[in-house]
Amino acid sequence: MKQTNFFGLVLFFASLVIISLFVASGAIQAKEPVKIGAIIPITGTSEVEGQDMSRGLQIALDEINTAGGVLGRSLEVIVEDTETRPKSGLDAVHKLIDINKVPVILGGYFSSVSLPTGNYSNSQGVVQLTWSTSPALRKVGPFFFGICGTDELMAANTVKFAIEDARAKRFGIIVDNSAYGLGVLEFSKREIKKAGGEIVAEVKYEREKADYRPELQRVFAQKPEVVVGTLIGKDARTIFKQAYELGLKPQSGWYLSWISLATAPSIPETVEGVKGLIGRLKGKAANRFNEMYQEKYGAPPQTVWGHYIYDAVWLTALAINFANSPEPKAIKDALFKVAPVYRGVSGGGDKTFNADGMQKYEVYQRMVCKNGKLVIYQK
Amino acid sequence: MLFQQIVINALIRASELGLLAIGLTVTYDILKFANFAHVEFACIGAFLAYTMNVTLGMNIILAGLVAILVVGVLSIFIDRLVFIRLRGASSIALMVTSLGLGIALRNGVRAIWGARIKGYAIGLQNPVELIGVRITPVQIFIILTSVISMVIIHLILKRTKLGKAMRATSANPALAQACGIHTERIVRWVWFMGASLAALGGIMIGLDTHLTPRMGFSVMIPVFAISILGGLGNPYGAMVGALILGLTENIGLYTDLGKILTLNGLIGNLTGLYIPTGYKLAISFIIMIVVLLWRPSGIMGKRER
Repeated sequence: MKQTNFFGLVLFFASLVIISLFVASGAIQAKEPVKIGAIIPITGTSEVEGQDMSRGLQIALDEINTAGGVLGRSLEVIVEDTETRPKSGLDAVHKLIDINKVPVILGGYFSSVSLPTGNYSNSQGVVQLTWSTSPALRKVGPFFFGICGTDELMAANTVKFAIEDARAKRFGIIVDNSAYGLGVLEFSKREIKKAGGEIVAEVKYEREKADYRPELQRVFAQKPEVVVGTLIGKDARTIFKQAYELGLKPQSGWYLSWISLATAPSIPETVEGVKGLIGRLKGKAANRFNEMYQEKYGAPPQTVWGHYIYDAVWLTALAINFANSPEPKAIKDALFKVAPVYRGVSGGGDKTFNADGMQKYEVYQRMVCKNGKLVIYQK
Repeated sequence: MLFQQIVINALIRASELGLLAIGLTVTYDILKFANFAHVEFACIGAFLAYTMNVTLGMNIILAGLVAILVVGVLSIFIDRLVFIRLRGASSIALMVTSLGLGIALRNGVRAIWGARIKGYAIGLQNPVELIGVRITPVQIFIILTSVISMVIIHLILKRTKLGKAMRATSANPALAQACGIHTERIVRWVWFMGASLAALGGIMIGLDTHLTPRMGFSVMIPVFAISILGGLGNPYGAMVGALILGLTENIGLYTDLGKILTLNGLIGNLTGLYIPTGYKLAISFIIMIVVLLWRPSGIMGKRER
């Protein structure tokens, strides 16, 4: 009898230990954060934009986790550096998918990075949200989403800005030799021809070179009234510096797509009066984001890309909660449902997707660079 | 744009790249291998000068001189650490070793200074206008420094015992040693000179543009093109090669081929035919290929029998 009692006691305590272990593991699991990935150009040509992205992401994460996180758990983002290069971007995505097993990846930034990374994440059934703008992204696949209007919209609006503002007829075009730049080139040419303008120079520059004087000579050889196109990151800084030193300036000015890409890293004196477009940031939500950014980092955002990643994080969190699941397929389906009701801080705020996962609407804002800062352009 | 402006732009480019190419070619002449790590000395020199100029507040000229000396000493240290064990190894083995070393140095720079772009504390340079040409004081400094450096290299090679010993070692190391020349000491001097010139070139590029850990790597192809074009092992060839590359890059993109083909409108009307700017590098390569076909040892290289 005593022996039976002893074994019963042992069995009782053993079962208590096992149950408590199960409960404990369950509790830990309940507190385990939902992890997603982000690929950001922390270094390389677009490190200035990358800094804004890192900060925009942190602001969104703080808000989401303060509001209770996702699925009752906190949301965590594993950030990897693309170095603004396709190869490093692809390495980062492989790591996030193959090792970290994330269901969602945010970013890519340049189309030349978003295209290969998107192809891989799509092939693995992992959702990717990018703010790249090449129309080629439409073909990546069902798990790939774009939260920024594509190049045909931006290029057309930039040319329209130059025509309306400067009554320009003779255009020079300069773009970086990448998927993004070539897209801008193609659509700018189409729009200029449609408006009856003349293209007097067309220049594609290679990234990360120390000398762009030959390219500048070529753009300005035929004395264009305006120069349109896209200049990016530290290459933009070199190009504007060398144009300033050579005294080269279009008669009626520069008109650039995504102007903050060019002006943010540049020396203020060299970009004075440069005009261009960015995604529209006006509105209550955008103003609130700007205030939070200023409060947290002691300075206003230099580019618009912090706004886009902020929207990407929020859309992902809403989709996870709506789907009630951290599974990629459920998140993919939910994204189409939450986007039309979400009011974001970038590109006018409406983040509705087309059937192909690309942005349906994008509202642009005309800007001009004054004393090193971008301000809304008023003629 | 005025033709003289294009020539000045070409001269600035040639001044920066020429210094690197001379260093590379001098090293090749004695060590008999293409040192792919050479351009990284430019990067290290530029960043060391940055630390002394911006972080320590030193005058840029003084900072540059110290950086050049440090890089020169570093190159001797690298030779003692790595290449001394490979004396007599095939040029392929040495070349591959230098390629690996280059990657290590590039990433070392990145680990120490980070990947963000940097610039010297010289502010934005306002250009001055001379005979219709716009040029900044820094660019004048770059051209003058380059010319003075080339004169010094010429004097070292032709007028000093070291120069004679270098030429003797290059021609026949065994005979040079038999004549009492300490060839290992010459090798050390060559490393020092080559790396110092590279550092000087890197600082010049940094003054003209900005600093990034990839600044050395990004000029590797033009620097090798210049050296091959001029004749590997010939510093004077490197000077000429640098000028040719600078001029072809600048004039090549600016020239309306339509006007040339039609003899400026004499035999038809074809204008606006330019080489696409995306093929800027190809211009140098095409010229290099043509020169090599015509003269395989380069413009000023020794004719091979």
